Amino acid sequence: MITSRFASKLLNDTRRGIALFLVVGMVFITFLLFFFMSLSTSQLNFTAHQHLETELATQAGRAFADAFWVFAKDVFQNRKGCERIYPPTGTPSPLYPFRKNELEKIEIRITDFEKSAEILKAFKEIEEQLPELARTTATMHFKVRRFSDSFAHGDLCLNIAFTLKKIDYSFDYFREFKLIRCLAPVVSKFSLFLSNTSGGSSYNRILKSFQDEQGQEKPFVVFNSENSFVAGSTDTWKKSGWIYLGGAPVTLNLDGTHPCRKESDSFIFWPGLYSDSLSQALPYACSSYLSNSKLRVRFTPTGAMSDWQSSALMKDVLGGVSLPFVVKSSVIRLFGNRDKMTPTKVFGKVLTSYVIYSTMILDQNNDSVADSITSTQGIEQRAIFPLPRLGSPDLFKPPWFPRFVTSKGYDLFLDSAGVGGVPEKMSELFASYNGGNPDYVAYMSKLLRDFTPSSGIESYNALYDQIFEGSSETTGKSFPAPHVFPQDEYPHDGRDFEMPLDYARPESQFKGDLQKFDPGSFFADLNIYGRTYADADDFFANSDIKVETDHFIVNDPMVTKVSGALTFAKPFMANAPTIIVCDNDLTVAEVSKSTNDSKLTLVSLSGNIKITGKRLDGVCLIAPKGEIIWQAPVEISGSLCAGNIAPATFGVGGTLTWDKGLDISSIETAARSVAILIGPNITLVRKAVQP
Amino acid sequence: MVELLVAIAVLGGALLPIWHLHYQSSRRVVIGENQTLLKNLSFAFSTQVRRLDPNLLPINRDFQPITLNETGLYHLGASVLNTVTLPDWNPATLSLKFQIRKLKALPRENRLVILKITWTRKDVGPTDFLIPTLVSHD
Repeated sequence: MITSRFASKLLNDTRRGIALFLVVGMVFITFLLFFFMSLSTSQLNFTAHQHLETELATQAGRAFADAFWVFAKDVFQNRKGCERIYPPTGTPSPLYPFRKNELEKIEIRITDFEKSAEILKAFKEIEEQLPELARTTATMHFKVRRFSDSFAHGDLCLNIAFTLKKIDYSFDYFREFKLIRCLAPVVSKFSLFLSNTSGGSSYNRILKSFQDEQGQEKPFVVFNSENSFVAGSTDTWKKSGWIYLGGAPVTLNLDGTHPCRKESDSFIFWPGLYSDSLSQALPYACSSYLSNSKLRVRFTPTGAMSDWQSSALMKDVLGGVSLPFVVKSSVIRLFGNRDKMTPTKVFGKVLTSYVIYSTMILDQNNDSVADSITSTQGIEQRAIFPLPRLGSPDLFKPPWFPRFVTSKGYDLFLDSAGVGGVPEKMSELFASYNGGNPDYVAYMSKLLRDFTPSSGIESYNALYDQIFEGSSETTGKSFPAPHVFPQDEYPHDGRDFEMPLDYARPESQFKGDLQKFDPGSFFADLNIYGRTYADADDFFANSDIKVETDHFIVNDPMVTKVSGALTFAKPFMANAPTIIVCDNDLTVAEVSKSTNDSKLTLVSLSGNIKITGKRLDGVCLIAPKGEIIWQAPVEISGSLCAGNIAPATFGVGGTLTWDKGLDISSIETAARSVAILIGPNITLVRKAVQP
Repeated sequence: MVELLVAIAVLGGALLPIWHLHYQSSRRVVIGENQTLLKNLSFAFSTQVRRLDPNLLPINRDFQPITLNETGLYHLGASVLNTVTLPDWNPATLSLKFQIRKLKALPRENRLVILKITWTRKDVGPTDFLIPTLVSHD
């Protein structure tokens, strides 16, 4: 019984023990479960807290980044203000030529900015809004993905580091970039670049007499620099806009009308026929005394004018024959006008035509000025005797022909009896027509085409020599002037053409045949564009161009292509480097002067460019396969490149002044010619370091 | 009886920390939820404000409460375009205010919009979170 009771008690105790154990065990397990749940929620809480802290830091960092981008875009727009990428004058920019290694070496800090004080001030203003935010720094560098001669593409990485609530943060903000040279290759260096001109004498269209103010058509004057040439600076051509007029031979007659007339470009010539008051300062060349006489020959190049045909006196100078090719002058004036001479180098088979008007003068006092003589009728006059052009030796028949007679009928040999320094016979002056010493051909009036091609005098480049000839104090005038350029550049046909990278580095940026160069090829590469648009409507609706009531305005660098045609009916103002390319015809009204010397390049890849306004400032117009057309006189500051510009279009008149801001061969411009296009400010942020 | 009392005491003694752990966890979850909400508010506010036109945002000296307009959007004053959509929040624990300033040093038109979220917690009291957003033409 006792045993049974004991056993029963033991059993009960055991049950209680087990129950207690189970209860304690369950409580313990529950505790553990809650403990681990607590740990997890603690971890969750910590993670949420960290996310919140990171979010706050991210937004603060983004504010710093946005402030920094404002300053960076300011530099990209103006292409100055950060010497690391846009160095001061005379130093090449590391941005160009596009090289991955060179670009990735560039690290831009706040202190590299001209406006570093403003950046720091802006950062300080942000820091002041948030307690415990301090020590903000910013560094930017390029990460290049692809590059070629035309562009570089990659990510611009901006690192912003700061301390917030005693924690150091470092964020990288990425924006896609494209580096593009915002000036068209090769052609920007040219004032005028025409691949296929009308050739021949097609540009000689202005018909007017010596005294006429203007003809039916007007000249289009090309100024190849903003200022007139400086005497003695024979390398002026290097810093001037150049001219290319295609592969076909083209002859541009110089204007021979009176230098005081409105449209005259006879800046190196002074026709002496109508003037008997030539002074020493006027641009002509004078020979030494002929033989033992006091006679000398003055060479006065004279351009085209109707008088060569209409005036018997003038006709006689040319041998009494009609020479229609010296009657009309060119509608293009390549070297500016007489008020502003801007000589440059001309490429292509560009020739010029004018008359070397020779007059023999009596100069007994050796001052190169014709003496006064009095005829038997008592008429006092200057002793100026034109030497007529004789086309063949048969016409040289002294003493009957040629005759040397003043415009007032004084015959040198018949009327000069007793006049000192005048020989009795012409043969004492000229031994023969050709081959004697001296011979008549050397001194007579001539056409440029009478010279041998090897002399190069017919080349337009020879005018460059003539402009500088005698311009310094140490040298006198001579005609033809000694060559400034190498002998084979009279004319320079453009086949062996080379353009230096810039004046500071020896490399070339282009070497080749201008006749094969396609100005549109650079724009055919879609990689260069920041964006492309389906049509003009898409462009105006979705691009960064601002359409205001009286202007189209671009404020950030833009390199864009539009399918189809494009019309800018209102004036355009580009306040950042801008290239706009369309496939078909492009019409532009006017281009206003940029506020920061930015240039606008407008390209019609396969159409024409039509100018409807009167003034275009800082623009490069390129229609590689078409024409550039204007129907009223237009003033252009910039550069024109086209397949052709019709002679009739030039004849409408106007001026083209090359803008030195387009000089891709100059170190000053080259450094600033690279536009940095940046993509959207991506919100994606990578947190790089969080100690 | 004694055993029962002991068992209850033991059980109570054991359950008390469990209850405490449960309380703590629940509180942490609420805090975490609020932190997540704060993060969402910050992100939503900054992302939308950044797209506004700086010229249209009025500068104000003090923090202004964010209020709903008649279309159900939160309005930052002046132009009707200055509106943002935000996640719902409990006004008993969170209050949202904003201030619009201008960074004078920046060369382009800009506004610095600061969102101030005040979170009132029983344990630590009110805490301010300041979220700066720079608005510029970019």
